[in-house]
Amino acid sequence: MGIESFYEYPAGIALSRFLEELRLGRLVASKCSSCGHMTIPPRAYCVKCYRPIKEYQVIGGEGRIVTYTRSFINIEGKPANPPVTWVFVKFDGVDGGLLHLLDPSINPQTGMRVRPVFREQRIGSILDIKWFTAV
Amino acid sequence: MRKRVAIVGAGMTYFRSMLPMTPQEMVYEAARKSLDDCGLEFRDIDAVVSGSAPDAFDGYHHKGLVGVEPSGGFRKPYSRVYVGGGTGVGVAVAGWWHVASGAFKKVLVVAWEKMSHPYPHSQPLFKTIFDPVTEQPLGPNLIWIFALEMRRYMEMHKLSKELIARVAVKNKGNALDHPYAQLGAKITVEDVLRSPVLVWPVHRLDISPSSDGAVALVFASEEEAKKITDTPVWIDGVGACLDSQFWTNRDLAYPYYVYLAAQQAYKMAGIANPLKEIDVFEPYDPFTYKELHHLDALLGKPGLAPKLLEEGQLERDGDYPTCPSGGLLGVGNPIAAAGLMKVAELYWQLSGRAGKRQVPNARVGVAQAWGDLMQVAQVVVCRA
Repeated sequence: MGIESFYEYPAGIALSRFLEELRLGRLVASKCSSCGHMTIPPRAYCVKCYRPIKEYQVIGGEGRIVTYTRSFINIEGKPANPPVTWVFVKFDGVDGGLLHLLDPSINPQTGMRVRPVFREQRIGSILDIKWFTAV
Repeated sequence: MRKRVAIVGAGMTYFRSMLPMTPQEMVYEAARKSLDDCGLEFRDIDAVVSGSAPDAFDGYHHKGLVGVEPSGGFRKPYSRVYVGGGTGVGVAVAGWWHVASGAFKKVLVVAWEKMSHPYPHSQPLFKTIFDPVTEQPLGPNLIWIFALEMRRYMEMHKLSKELIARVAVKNKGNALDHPYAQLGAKITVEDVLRSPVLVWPVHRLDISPSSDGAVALVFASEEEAKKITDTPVWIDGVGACLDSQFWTNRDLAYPYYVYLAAQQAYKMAGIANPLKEIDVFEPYDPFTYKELHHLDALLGKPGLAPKLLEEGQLERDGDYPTCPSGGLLGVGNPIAAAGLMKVAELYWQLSGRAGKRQVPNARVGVAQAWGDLMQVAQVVVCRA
């Protein structure tokens, strides 16, 4: 038996705002009006005090590499040529962080300061960020 | 010695065919409302019990995780309960275990469903619930099995399509008074009979819709409940029963496993005669005939429910108000959330907060959900 199944997901309240800001070439975090806690990717609710989120704040894109890895295989388990470097980036004063690709010309190090490189053609997608590169 | 368990708060999202929200946002909205309803915060909750249907329906293959953060369930005991279509009431039964055992004082119970993710429709995914050797090769859809059961039920009690259609008329009418309902409507028996026949004798309007939605309840121990609210609604009985995996082993005319689950709950609640002692009935109604089929079992009298329907006794102002919420046919059917909506309806009815849907002098109610391949029964009995 085989069933081919397709899915479509709404980005929802908070991530719709996130994607819209990506299209404009910016990163945005949710900001709690009650306790001030900021989270990226943004949530519709504060993960600290659980009040609904009413504010979103554009943040400077500069962050730091918390951890990284390099994959020599692709999603199908076949060799990846060239290998792909993944970084987890956190931003100052903001909870959460982003997983993304790293500029292949950069040799990653923990704590390295990085910034997103946006594509010229942006559609409101996480892929509007081409990759992160060293500041 | 088991502890007495109260429902002290409830909240829900709109039920809609496509909510432009993530499952996390839906869970948060329902949970936030349920806590606001009783003046509690997420930090006050000792444990979270969540429920949702098979992963395939929204395409995350670890779906329990989705509910963790928005329910405030992280860094505390959190579990996901799954008993097929019975999950919505099953999650309330499991929430009851948490508090009745004395292990937890305040528990958040939340159920959600996001059926709009698969496209063009969630229907093909139901094929995977059938036996891969004996049934799947036949290409079954979900409706044919209900059509078989409906026909058997109709023949057993000599029921007409016209009579059964009145369940849709009643429930969609009741749903007009439910502020979160998807399919409230004033329709006629003729509308049901003129709607397309999908799998005879099931017409389009005999079936509840696919829906997105979430519902949350707050459960508390007796001591805590009295501090939290003046109008607790007590869960005085729970029952759960599964029949064999093989539906071909059952007489489809009477869901005996629902009867057994109901009897467990009645025994615990001290109810000897459900017909006399229960004021509000919320049997599971994904299809029109299922309301009657299940009510038969809740009353322990095969064939009685259709007679009560014919006499108008199941209307909200009748002697046996059944699905005053509007049920799955009217409010909508986001699988697990739909079952928990029925328990929420008991909370609203028995605490006198059901607004335009209020059944006068409602003191005792029963809610029931059903599922898998026609073998799961989950029942709760509540008392004001």
